[in-house]
Amino acid sequence: MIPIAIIVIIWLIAVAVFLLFAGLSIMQMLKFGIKHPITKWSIIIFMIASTAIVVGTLLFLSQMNLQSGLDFQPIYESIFVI
Amino acid sequence: MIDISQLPGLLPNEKLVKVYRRHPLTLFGLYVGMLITFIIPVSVYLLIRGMNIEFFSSEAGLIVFILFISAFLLFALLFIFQQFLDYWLDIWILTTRRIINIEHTGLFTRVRSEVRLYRVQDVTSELHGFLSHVFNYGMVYAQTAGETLRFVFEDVPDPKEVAKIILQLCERDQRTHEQEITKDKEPAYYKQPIQ
Repeated sequence: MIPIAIIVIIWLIAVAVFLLFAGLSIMQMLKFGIKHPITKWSIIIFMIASTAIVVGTLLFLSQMNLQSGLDFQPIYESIFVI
Repeated sequence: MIDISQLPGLLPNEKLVKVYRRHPLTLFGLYVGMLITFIIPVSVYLLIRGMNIEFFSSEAGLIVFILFISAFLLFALLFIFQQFLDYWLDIWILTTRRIINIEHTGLFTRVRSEVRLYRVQDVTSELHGFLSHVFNYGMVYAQTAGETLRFVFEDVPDPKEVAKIILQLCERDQRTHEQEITKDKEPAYYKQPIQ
């Protein structure tokens, strides 16, 4: 039985790594991208889409019971036993 | 647009002619990637429902699934953005006096090279492949004197026209350069005002 909180922490680490690389990419775009509406809008769309995914997931998590645990027995049975 | 005064080593009477990028169709892999990014989560969800796995009907299983899909979408989005960044930041700037190529490879590698137009001796345009012919994009090679390396415009739209513009500008810059050299070679007393 794996606590769901651990899986949430792993997801948060993944989000932190994503934010690091996203920040670096945006910085590169702002620094070297020429003055053009596409430069600006590509950054805006990327930020909106990323924020929507992160916020959507957090909203979903806020409605769930994170105290529960993950049991691999049912998946094992459904795939291998049946 | 690019402010030419921001470019290093601005030459006298230098004006911006055009900024070239690869043809948008060269981003075809990116478009396919975007499509797959949206198809994968939906198809995985439908597959799981179809298999009727008990694991995913539990709350914990659903959380794991959503977190996995969320992380997948985030990194797919980052990959797509970086591919676009690579496309958008690779440019060829054609001015009345030189060609400047700025190439962005990876997140921290940026190569800037330039060639003076009077040094260009031969310009070749090349259309290679079916898509290249249909959508009229291809390579333009600018060969400089005494160098084996060629200056390459990769997959630019309308390569024939680009080559023509470069050749016209080269001829003009060669004349300007010759005039500049002649001026410099004049003896100093010629330059002094007559009293």
